[in-house]
Amino acid sequence: MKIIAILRERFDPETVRVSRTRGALDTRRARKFINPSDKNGLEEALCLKESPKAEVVALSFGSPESEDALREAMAMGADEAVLISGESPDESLEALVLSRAIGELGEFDLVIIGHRVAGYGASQVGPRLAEILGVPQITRALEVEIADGKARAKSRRSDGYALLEVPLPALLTVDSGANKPRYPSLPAIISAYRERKVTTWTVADLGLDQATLSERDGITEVRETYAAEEREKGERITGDAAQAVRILPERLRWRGF
Amino acid sequence: MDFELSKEHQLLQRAVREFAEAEIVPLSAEIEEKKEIPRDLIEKMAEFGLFGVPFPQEYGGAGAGVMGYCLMMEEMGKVSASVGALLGAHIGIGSMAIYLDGTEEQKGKYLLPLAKGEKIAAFALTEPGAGSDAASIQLSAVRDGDHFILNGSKIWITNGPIADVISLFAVTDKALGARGGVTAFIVGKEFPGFSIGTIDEKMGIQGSATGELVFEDCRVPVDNVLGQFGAGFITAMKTLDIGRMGLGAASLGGAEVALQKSLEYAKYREQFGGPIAHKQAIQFMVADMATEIEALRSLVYRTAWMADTGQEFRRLADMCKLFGSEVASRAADRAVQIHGGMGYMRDYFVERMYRDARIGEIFEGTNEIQRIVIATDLFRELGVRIRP
Repeated sequence: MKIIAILRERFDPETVRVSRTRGALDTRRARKFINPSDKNGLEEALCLKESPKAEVVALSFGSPESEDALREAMAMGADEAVLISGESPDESLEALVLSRAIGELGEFDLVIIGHRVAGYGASQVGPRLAEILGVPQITRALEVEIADGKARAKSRRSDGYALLEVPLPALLTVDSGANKPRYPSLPAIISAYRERKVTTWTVADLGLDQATLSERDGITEVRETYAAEEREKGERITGDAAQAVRILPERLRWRGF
Repeated sequence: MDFELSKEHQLLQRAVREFAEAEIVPLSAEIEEKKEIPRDLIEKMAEFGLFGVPFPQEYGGAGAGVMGYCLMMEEMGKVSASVGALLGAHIGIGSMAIYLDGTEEQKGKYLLPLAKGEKIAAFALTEPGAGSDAASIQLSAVRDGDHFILNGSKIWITNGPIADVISLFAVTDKALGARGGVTAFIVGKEFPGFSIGTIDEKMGIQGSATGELVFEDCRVPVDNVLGQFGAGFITAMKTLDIGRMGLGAASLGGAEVALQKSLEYAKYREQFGGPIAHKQAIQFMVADMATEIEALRSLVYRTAWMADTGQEFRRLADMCKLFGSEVASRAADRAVQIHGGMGYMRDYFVERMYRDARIGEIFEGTNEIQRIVIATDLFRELGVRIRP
């Protein structure tokens, strides 16, 4: 079984500042990380890998820095890593590029991708990609099971769950927090950098042209960016109840209660 | 000149930080209360690869070098000084002696399970009559056929009560003293004649197990001589060089968290109609803390880089320990002061930090000894031989 896990490297929204006057994003001191829901998708892929014999390919489309996301994926247990270096102006084009890369990778059983992208909260790449690939999809999948050439999963809805079954090959999108991604072990981290290889393709290798990609209008457009109202971070008081009760009044006093 | 950590060290640092936040922080208060690091946490740490960070992968380690070791110790210093002490004694000195001077057979037999965290190591040098004056140790080792018979005791040994393997220093020729009369041995806890004596109650790092090791006609095979016969003092000193760097790194982490807690508190605590962050008295303290932290970080990272690139780093390692432990103590002291009454309360983190920081100025060579060693080295360059 071959599972393709898509990883998107994004700015950690907690480290991005929003200029109050212009509404523009200031990423100068921002840190990049693997889009959290993609990491949950990778974890799902790695869990499925443990049951039947399967191969997990980590696939990323982005700047050369995305290589770090792929190295981390290999440290976590991905068998192969492919980076398509380039930029995508919008999600429809991103899905197009990914579909071409998946075509190059040959036959697959599952594509897993995070449901939402941190920051903008967009969630179109997965569904668009399934359409282009012509495979069925389960969005916001939980408790995935693979048997007899079919994938079964709970699909999260606003009012509960739907239990869905689709024939393979298929695409799944996964919510952030759907599982607890494993830690890459420390020896695996070092090996991922010193011994493993990331295959790199350009969009030209996929028969696409970066210039046309950039020029061609995407079908989505960003109208406005604005800063959400800042809310104070909560604090969790740990320890047993007796301890917590002793600490609590002091904390409330700090905060002016 | 490049001050960036390598990509693999950046990922290692982040992974260790995430592990520490998720697995150690929730237990850190309990570790101190119960005076014990839970077995299942030790198993998770082993699986994650914390017990062999600097050692090559062929010996069961992560292959992350001394820099990786220091980054890991920095994170431990932030979350639990007791876990830091466990790892520092295990990796930085206990296992390190075997890595530096062990034979291939010894590394296969002892270092491999230690680096994988299947066994715990300790480093035993201090005795009732020998601490800073390490050359005057009394524990004796006398040859008997293909064994040595050990008699004497070691005290205040970090990990002593829980160690499976001990890098031990004993006198093999009293007349020669430190110059040829001390030999290092690898002792297994199962060796006949070995036992654990008093278990110590300490001011801080209470989750770290410290105690006395007793040797009564303890039989150690000749194959377990570590390094050259009679060259044990050299093994001890070069092992401690790495250990001291790790202490500097753990101190860095401790100081960083003291600053962080102080900033957060000063932001919320209101006096005279506003947060105390607006008081210059507070500002001066946090500015000094931050400045010392950055100086310490530069020192520790550079020293680790020198060790990994095969350069002479001994004097700098001593400075890491000396400066680091004092920066951490000062930071903890200021953190208590900034927190005021809150900082003095048992259940609050900075109170523990204050007690935990104090040992840094004492173990692995007191800061007085570090100053003497640094000065001796400085004068040596001028041809002056300092006498102890």
